[in-house]
Amino acid sequence: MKRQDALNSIVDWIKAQSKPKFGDVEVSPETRLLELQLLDSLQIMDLVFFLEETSGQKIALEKLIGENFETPNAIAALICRAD
Amino acid sequence: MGRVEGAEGFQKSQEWDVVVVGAGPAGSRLAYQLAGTGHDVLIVDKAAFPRHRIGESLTGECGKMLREMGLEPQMKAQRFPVKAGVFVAGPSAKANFYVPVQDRDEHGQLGPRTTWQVRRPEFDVMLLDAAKAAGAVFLQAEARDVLRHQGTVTGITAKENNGRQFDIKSKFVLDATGYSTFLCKKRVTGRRNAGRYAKQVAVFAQFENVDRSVAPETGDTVIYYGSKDNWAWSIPLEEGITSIGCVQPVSVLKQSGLTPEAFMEQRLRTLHPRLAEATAHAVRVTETWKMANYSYRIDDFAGNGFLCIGDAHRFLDPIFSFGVYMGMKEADMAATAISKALATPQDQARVFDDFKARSDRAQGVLQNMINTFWDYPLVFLRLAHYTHRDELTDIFAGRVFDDSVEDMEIVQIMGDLMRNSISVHG
Repeated sequence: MKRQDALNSIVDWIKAQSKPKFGDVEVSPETRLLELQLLDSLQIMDLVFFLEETSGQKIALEKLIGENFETPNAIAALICRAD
Repeated sequence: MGRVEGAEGFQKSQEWDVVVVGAGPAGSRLAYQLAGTGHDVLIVDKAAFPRHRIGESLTGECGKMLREMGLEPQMKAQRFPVKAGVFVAGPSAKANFYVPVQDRDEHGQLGPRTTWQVRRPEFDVMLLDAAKAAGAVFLQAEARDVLRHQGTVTGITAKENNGRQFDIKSKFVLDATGYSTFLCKKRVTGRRNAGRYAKQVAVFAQFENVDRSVAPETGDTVIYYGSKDNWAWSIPLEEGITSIGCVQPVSVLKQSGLTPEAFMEQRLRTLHPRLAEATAHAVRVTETWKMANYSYRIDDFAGNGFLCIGDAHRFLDPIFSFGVYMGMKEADMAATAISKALATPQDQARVFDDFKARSDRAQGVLQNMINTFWDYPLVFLRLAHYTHRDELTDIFAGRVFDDSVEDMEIVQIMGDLMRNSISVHG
């Protein structure tokens, strides 16, 4: 998965997820997702499943730590690292 | 056999099959099992019962053991709160989850069960009475030392309240003294190793007027997860009385410069917003207790003439309320091992090695599970909520002691995760 594609799909996914609770929010590659509580743990897990499905690769369990989910950029790095 | 009160039935000259040191749930369960199969069992404890102890929440499997002992009517008569699950209030308001007590029925189907929260002074007396009713003899005395003969433990030296000290001979000495770790202090076992959570301290007390509506059922445990290594328990003990404990690194307490009482009050306000709400009108009705360095593992915890069970050789972490269950389950394993060793003395080394291996394996699985919970909360959530829910439930329902436990995928995943994280973090 190309990094820009990954980033776009992550940002779109987060916008769609947060819409019911927060309405339309601006999400940039450097938006602090956890600090702003845009994502909780269960949603992070849903996002992981979504990324694994769309990219066709598994994210190693030891990468599933909060600091890898702080921003869309960090998440994109996680999924593209294996390329 | 009728109920034996006090030290009635105790003769100093007698040589016992087994002396059990410590009359907590593990010691009483062990005495109950061994006396029930016709062995001469003496339980020795320096405390006058009832006495205060911590460890108030039982797992589902532990509830099952009590039912097997026929104690359900007594549990009900004592009005111990019925626990249907554990509510975990996560670090953000959206990350809460509920772990119901579950068990497999005779068809292998998982279904809801209940267990109990207990007031330990009464609970421990109930189990000790069950052991006495099964034929065990109780002696209130302090175990002061160990008798040895040619490298084998052959009994203890006991001291009664009146100061009289005397020897008690036995074929086996069982250490069920919990964190007092009697046989370790007497250098009978191997060394004591500080555990993974040895730098934690718990402060705890009982309160009135705690809001229990946080969890689905009023008898449920609530775990407040503040941040890594900072959490609190709320366990209902009886109508209107709730046990609350705050756990954190020792350094947090030290740096606060506060007394345990003041520190407890501060933590109730700051550890977790839901805890602050639930205790806004709480009134403390006991002293504030403190317990540090609670995680440890003792090497070579069984050998010639002796065996340690439960907290007397290992304590992991109180987060999943496994303590009383581990003690009682190891009591059953020890009872089997002792029965075999009494019947066929030349097999002692082999059956004791089996006991140690089973205990180590189960404790190792739980250790990895607890480490995963603290170090990789997202992975734990993934396993518990999405991918391995039933296997995790099975671990909680006692499969941790089955020979098949290492075949479980979740056990392999958590084991690999811990090995990988050790290699990553040095």
